[in-house]
Amino acid sequence: MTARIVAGAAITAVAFVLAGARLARLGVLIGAGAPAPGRMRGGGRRLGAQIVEVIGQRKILKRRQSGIPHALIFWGFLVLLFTIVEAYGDVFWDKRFAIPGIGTSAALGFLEDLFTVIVLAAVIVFSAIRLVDSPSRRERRSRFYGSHTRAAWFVLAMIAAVMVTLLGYRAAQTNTGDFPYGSWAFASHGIGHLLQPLGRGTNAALETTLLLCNIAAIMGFLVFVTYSKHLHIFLAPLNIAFSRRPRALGPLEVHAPAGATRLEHLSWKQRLDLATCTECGRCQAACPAWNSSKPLSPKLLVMGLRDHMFASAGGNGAGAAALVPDVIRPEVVWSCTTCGACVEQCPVDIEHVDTIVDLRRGLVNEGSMDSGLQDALQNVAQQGNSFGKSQRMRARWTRGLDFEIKDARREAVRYLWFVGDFASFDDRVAESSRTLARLLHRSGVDFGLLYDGERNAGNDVRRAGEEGLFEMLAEHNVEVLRSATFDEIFTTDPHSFNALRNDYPRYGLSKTVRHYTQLLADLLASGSIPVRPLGARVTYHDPCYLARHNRLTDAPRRVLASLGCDLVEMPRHGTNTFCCGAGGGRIWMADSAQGERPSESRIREAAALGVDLFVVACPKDFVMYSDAAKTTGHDDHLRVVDVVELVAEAARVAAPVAPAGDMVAAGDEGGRP
Amino acid sequence: MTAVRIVVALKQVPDLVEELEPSPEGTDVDREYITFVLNEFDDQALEEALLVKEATGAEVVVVALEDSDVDQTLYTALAKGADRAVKVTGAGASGGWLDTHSRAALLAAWLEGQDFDLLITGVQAPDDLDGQLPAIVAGRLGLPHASVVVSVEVKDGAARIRQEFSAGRSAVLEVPLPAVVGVQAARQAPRYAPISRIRQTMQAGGIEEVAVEAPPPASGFTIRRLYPPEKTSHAEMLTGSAGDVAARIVELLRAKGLVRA
Ligand code: SF4
Ligand code: SF4
Repeated sequence: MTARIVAGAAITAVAFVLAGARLARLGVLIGAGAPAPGRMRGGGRRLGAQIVEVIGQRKILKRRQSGIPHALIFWGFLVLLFTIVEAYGDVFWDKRFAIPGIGTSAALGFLEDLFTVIVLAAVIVFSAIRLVDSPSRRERRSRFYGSHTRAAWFVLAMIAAVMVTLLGYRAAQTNTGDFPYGSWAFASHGIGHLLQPLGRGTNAALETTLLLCNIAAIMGFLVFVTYSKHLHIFLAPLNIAFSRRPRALGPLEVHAPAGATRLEHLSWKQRLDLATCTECGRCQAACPAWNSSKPLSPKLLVMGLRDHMFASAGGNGAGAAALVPDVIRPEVVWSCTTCGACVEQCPVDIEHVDTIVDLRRGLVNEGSMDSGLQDALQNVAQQGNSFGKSQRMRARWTRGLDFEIKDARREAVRYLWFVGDFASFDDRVAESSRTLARLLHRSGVDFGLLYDGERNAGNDVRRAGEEGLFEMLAEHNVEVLRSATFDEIFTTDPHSFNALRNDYPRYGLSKTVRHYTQLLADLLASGSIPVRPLGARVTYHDPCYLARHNRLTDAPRRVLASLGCDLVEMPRHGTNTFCCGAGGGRIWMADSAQGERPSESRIREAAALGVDLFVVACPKDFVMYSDAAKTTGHDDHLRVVDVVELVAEAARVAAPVAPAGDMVAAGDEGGRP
Repeated sequence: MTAVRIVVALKQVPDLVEELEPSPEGTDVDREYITFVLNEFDDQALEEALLVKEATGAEVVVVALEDSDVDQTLYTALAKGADRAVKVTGAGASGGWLDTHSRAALLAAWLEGQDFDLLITGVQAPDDLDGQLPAIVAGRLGLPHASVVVSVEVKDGAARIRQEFSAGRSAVLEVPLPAVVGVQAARQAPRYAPISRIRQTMQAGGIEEVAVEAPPPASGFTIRRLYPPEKTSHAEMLTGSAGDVAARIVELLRAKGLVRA
């Protein structure tokens, strides 16, 4: 008995010292981060997230195949905490130890055995996943590419060791008479039955050995966890507790005004992000940059920064190194489209986009960037639009109309239409702007423009890292919007939509912002735009800044349903949509064009569905996908079309309508974002 | 050797994304509704000066006459790394278009009181396509001058410059300082000035205003009329079948002696 106590105590003490030292060091590293305001507020919501995300494993379960075994192991570990208490009780208290109250109940005995078996089964499933999706064979296509796979195998082995030793000593206990549970502990009794012929003495020795091995395995696991990517066992609940709510994806924050160029500029939340990464590669598998052979993997970016942070001695020691280019290559930082797929997928709520934008801010502040981006930013700074055209040409697209659109700065309107650069200046898209204007005019919607008062909303400018220019644009637009009289705003561009809705409130904008698809959906529902069914087989591409960043997936689908279209969804749709590759300022940067572009991969995805129309609801998408349909040779059977053009087609089929003065009043109440 | 002082002369020109129209008097562009931006060659000159500063620790002083939107340009230059910004004011320096001779005279008048080693400016401007400005300033100050320069390096009281000529030929010259250089292109594309930094420099202020006596007009010419180019050429549209059009093209080319047979 004393030997057991000494051995158990020694193992535990060593483990606690090793793990404690590591955790203390991590505490210092993370605590040395810059402030992250607002990350403590909203306790109720944060508690809710713990229940849904941690206990409920919601995001993990998005990927069924690995999510279910993970959830089972997690829940298994919760149940098996009891067995740890029992193991220590057995060592330090009494061989016949049972947890007071519940320690002999059939239910607990059954659950413990059940989950031991389940966890072992889950370990086998995980091993299979790792073998099938092995990076040594599948290279970049494996989501484990670049992850520490040996550590992962070691962890699986450790988990298996804990389970096997647990079952073993419990089985031996059934033969020494020390087991507190009856036959409901089916696995222990089953194996115990097999061990019975060894005799009582052997079983007793076996019990002591396996019990100590179990404690050693648990403690070894504890230590290893704190030194490996498995740290997430401790840090994930913390990271989720402090993540942005309601979703990790949300309005950008400004931590360091000049961006992040050195470790010291990263906030404690960003550092916690780094330390929490599980290297699962879900973000990488969803990343449009990685999937088009770009050097960026959100996982590898996080791992790179993390390794740098860990290498810095206590706090900000190695902080002298430049995050870019010493730790992360500039091409990596510039490859991001800020689509948010990584954040959406990350089971531990890491906020990659915030950190990437911070790195970009640092680069922009040093003036180092792609020349295409520099030109675009200079155009926006000088002319207020990325096309570098005269601001006075902004409303030139209205020239083809046979009516005049109101100037909201001069007369009151119900809706202020924030058109955006592409829908104003790009000839291909301007046609759709006119179509929308005609539809709204014919159905009696009272709307107006800011004309040459409108400037680029700055969504992409901001995500490209030019915070100062964004501020200037936001201040200007808010000032002009304030000088106009209107009830609500609607935009053509999902990017402008996002900026006006999420970024502008900080600059004093407090109006409801809608997307034109919402307006169209309401007008169709109320009958203000009479249509005949088109009966086309279509698929719809969710723009990242509508669907993922703003959860707006329903309105465009309502429009398509009203038009009698047969919607066939692509595998990646709704909030799991796949980026066209244009966001975050990428549209302005030179594309090295090695490998398949995200937009081309998307067109192939759609072409496989056998649909006739590829419907978009974003001007940039129209441009990107029209090009991609051509370069992939699918343009002869797959037409890229803006949803507004479909509405117009369906309305042309129906009898032309006479303008109806207040028809819209009935239709525009519902469907607010 | 103490740090070299480089003066960069900047000039505002109409932003060409706007449609330019003659003013009602017909002797200038209508300045009321257009914006003015930095002459792109001057932007190159500034970049080259900043590269010299980075390499040698030289001091860079930007100077501009008081033109429309000039403050924006001067603050941008400060944000990019210029050490001082000077705005030349006074009756002769502001209001309306100034011919190159008058500009050069004002600049030279200010420079005469300055201690500097190198004047760098753009080799040309939309209203100075012959690139007279650097030459005239040099002449007035009695300094050596070189134009069409694509790189400037400063060492031991002299500037080593590279001039680029047509047909890919170039020359490397050494000029004793002080000297005047007209830059065609900098060694790298002009850098980006982040807006937040421009705003900071604006808040800090720091543009030095210097009134300079207007010297007598020196150019000896006046503008009588400014007008958009009148179209004199006429185009002939070829119509008919592809064969007809092709035949007509061949006929025309033969007539001009461009093809034989
Ligand atoms: S935001 Fe999109 S492009 Fe950027 S790292 Fe995440 S998944 Fe990749
Ligand atoms: S960042 Fe998140 S999704 Fe990506 S590897 Fe790490 S834990 Fe997985």
